[in-house]
Amino acid sequence: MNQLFSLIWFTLKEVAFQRIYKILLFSLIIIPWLLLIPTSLFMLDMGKVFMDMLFTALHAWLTAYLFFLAVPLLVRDVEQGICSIFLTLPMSRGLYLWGRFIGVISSIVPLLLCYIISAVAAFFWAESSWPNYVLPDSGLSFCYGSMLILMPYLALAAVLFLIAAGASGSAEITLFLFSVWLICWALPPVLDALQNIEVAESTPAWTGMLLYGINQLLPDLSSSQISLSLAHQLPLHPTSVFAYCIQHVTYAVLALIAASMVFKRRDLS
Amino acid sequence: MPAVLTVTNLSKQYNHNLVVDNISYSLHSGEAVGLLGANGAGKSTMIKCILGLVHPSHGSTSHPDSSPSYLPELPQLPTSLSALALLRFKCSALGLNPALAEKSLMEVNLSTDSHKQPISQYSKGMRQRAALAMTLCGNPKLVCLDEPMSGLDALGRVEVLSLLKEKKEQGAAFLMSSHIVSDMVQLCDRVLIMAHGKICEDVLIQDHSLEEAKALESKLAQWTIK
Repeated sequence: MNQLFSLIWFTLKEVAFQRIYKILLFSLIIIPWLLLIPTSLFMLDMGKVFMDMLFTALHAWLTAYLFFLAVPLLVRDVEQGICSIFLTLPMSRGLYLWGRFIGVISSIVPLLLCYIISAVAAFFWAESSWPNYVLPDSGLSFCYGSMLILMPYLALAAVLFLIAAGASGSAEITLFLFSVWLICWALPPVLDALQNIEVAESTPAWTGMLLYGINQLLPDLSSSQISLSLAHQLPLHPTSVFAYCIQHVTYAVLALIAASMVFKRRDLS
Repeated sequence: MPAVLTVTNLSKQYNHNLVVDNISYSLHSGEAVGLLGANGAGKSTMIKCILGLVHPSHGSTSHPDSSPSYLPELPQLPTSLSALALLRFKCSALGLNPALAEKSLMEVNLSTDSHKQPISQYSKGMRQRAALAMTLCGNPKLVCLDEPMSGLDALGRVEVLSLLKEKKEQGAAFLMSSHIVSDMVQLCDRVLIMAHGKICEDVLIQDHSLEEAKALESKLAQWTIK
């Protein structure tokens, strides 16, 4: 356990001391305030538009974090052999992957906190400046939504570790992660639409089951239903939220177990 | 004296290319064994098999008392952190006294000012010293060194050799791969000449002299040409 905590703490420091991390941190503080400028153009729907924009920015920076901080970290570890520092401590390959993964995810927390605090402050300011156009408690809904939107990225990060466990270099890791990311954005909304009751009525039952199965293969990154519901202050059922969280956590755990199995068999030259 | 490392019939094959071919030897406490060979002779692959970074195709390695510490040929370190942070991590992960981190950096003569600087600001020689400090921190019983003198100037090589000799006298066993025969002769008790994945000759070092180094170089040339 001591090794795991040491590696998590080390990874957190390694990521946080990078210049790009500090730039990202600074930009996340000012982004919500900058987003108020385009938001003010949509006077009647200000609260909803602002929340939509904040969620879009959240997706953008989480994607940027994975591609520009997590991918280079794993590329350095595997391609340049930095992982030998950890593995020759000695440390098992499984523990190394879990430690690095939790470290990478933990490094998101300070960024997310800064973003949430800045966004909530911007919401309060907007509420006091334009009380008729911003619904009360929008800030709280945004906090809740941010936590939920983080979940699929947890799964995507685990997929990144699975890719890195078997891939040979940066080009391969980036290309495969980009492909997964693209599919996760594009495919689930289409599959959801195909499972619509009206469509389901006109197609055989097995098609629906097949589509549902395919839908579970990759995490749904767009989280479109959550963003929509929170922006429009529609109720989110606790059971569906719980299922959504469990689905992504299970996905991440399974991907990491697969990554450990692949990584254990690999020669690190 | 019990062996700290035993290599038994070790082979490694990549596709149809036999990189390490049926190698066996043992290494005892306080002993230093050198691996000498041309590029591609299989030295680094064998070291990686011992460390568990590469899975052997046949045979086994065992190090019952302790896990080997490793200095890679081109040590890559996380550049956003300082050498001190790196060594503190090792101490924390192994449950060692954190004060050992600073002590190890002092041992390799890495200036105190640089301890807290990010590694990205280090010169090549400083990185090599930091990596060596990381390897020797905690007084490991078995140390695998792959080209430990690369990137060091003449004075640095003398300092590092003296440190390695001191550790050897304290009981550490060394498996060292190097192209600098004179350095190897000064530290090692035995030198294994490797060519085409095999140990061609096991040479006992008698008086650690320059003449011995020259003789070893000519033997290496002879085996490499064959």
